[in-house]
Amino acid sequence: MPIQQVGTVDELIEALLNHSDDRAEFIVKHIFPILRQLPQQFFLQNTADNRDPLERLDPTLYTVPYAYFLVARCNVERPEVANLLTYILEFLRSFDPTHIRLVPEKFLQVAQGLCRIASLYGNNIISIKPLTHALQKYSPSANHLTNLHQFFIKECLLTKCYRQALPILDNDITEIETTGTGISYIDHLLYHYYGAMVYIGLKNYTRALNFLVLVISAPAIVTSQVQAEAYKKFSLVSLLLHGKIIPLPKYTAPVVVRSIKNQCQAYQDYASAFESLNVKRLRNEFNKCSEAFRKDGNFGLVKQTLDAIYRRKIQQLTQTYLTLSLVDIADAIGLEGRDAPKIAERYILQMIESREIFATISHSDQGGMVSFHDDPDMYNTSNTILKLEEQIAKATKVSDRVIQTDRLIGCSREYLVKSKNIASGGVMPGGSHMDDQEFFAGGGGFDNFDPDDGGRFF
Amino acid sequence: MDTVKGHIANRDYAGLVNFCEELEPQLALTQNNTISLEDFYGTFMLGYLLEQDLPSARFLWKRLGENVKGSSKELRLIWDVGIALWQRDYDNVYKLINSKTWSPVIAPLMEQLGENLRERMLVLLSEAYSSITIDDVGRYLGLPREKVLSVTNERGWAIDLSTDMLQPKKNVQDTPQSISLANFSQLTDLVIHLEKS
Repeated sequence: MPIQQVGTVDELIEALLNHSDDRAEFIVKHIFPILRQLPQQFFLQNTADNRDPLERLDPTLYTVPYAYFLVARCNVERPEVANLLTYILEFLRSFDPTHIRLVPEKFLQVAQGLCRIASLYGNNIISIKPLTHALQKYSPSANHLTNLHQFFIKECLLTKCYRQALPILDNDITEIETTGTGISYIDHLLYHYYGAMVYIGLKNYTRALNFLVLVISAPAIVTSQVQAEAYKKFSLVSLLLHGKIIPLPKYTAPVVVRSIKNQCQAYQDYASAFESLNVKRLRNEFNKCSEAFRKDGNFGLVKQTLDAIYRRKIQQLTQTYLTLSLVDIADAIGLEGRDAPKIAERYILQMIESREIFATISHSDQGGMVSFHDDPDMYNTSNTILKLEEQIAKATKVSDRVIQTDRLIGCSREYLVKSKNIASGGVMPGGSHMDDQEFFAGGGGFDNFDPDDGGRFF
Repeated sequence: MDTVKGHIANRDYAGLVNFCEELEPQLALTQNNTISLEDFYGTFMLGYLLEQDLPSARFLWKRLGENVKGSSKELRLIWDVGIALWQRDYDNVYKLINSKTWSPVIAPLMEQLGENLRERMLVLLSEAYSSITIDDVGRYLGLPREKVLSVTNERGWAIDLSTDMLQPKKNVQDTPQSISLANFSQLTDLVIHLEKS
């Protein structure tokens, strides 16, 4: 039986309570039309006996209407903070994920509402943990991107709760579904951009770099400003990790590559100064562009590269020398002043601890000598096997995923239409004969699979 | 509060940090009389430091409200220890740890922090140096001369009093070599996968 027109809150609640059918089709067919036509004002009213309608609705059974009420109330100029906060938190604990995926935009609005209320309450941190749990429940799997992802990470950045973002960020996004998650193109860019910022903050540069590459190499017809900003950070993180700007993936959109050249000149100049391993030149470049770096919010990263250049130079020395005195090292890497050997010693100690170099310092001679060694790990222990197995398992998983995607694309309408056109036109790159095996078996697409671990292993 | 104490007693600092992260928003929401904000944030911060997660400790300090920062001198001092760790000014870390009597909740954690750092340094020094002056070791360990000698003696470091040098003994770790049935099953999985594609 369809629900009749409703005029008052009481009628709406009666109607909802009488039709406790929680199948998605029912909600779409009967509840949506009603909720959509009601003005925002409607959801601010109380019942006839002056009670709060939310008291009578169970957020699990009536997730969608509940969300409508919450959103309307969050958007008023002076919301009743304490009261509303309890309702929102209750909602985020007990909403029904299959229902709320019917209205992803409302869910995002509830989350935004929560953050607004939390800041009115005087403490934004309140919102982080409930949002984490809600997001985990809301997204179809840990590998799905939703419209809430980028908003959540941004909120983590703003409240300085970087580590709290990791339960979400540590899962790679492999699934993009537009139905039920309400995502758009920009969500993908922003999520990975903000995610990279979190990892940079926590000094996990390997993962930050992966995230930035994802942003830059996203398919594009026009360059997004997010991509340009991502490239700036990418170049600096790449210097920290690899001592140079690593090449972008081949499938990066040409338009992006072009606009990067135009927009990020200062960063490219800075990187080539770094690659020359000339401390003076780097400092000059730094002084020249420091204003720009500061404006881009990359000053902290740039300052770290000033430190990293010394370590990079020490690392280079290990390739030429077997033993070197601390005084010579300090001289060779361009440290000046009376304390230079001491500072050099500190760098070396630091690098030994982080296993960037293998060396022994000896103070029995005057001033101190350093002897450099090869990596003592012969890679013949079960640790190596364990690592190898880990990487193989990862590769297997990725290749399975690639095959799956390949088949999906192979079956998609767009692909079939296009390949049919090409086949009938007679022009088909790589031969007109299409073998099923070749066509569907996947096998390509490994370019973007990068076994991290700093490349030490492979 | 009891959970916090439990984690501290078990030296489960990862658990402590996770628990504190859950508790932080709740404390912002409702008053909790079993633990003062000062003690809570102090423990929280030290949890990060013990986990060697300095960036997170830094962000915790950054997100602390002025009311908490201003009202607690101890918190400021704990973060000073964090700053010294950040700058790798280990000498100063020990000095700061010993500079005051910490409140009862904080004290055992501080002691553990110093202990962990000392252990970490001993391992690092034995790896990085073939000879080093006793004074330098004292600075890295935050110990007076006699203590340095007894600690290093326990670990079998050789001492040369004529030059005032210590010769650290290398730590040789042998990792177990194990081949088990699990290796075979993984190998078969791999072969199956390769066959499939």
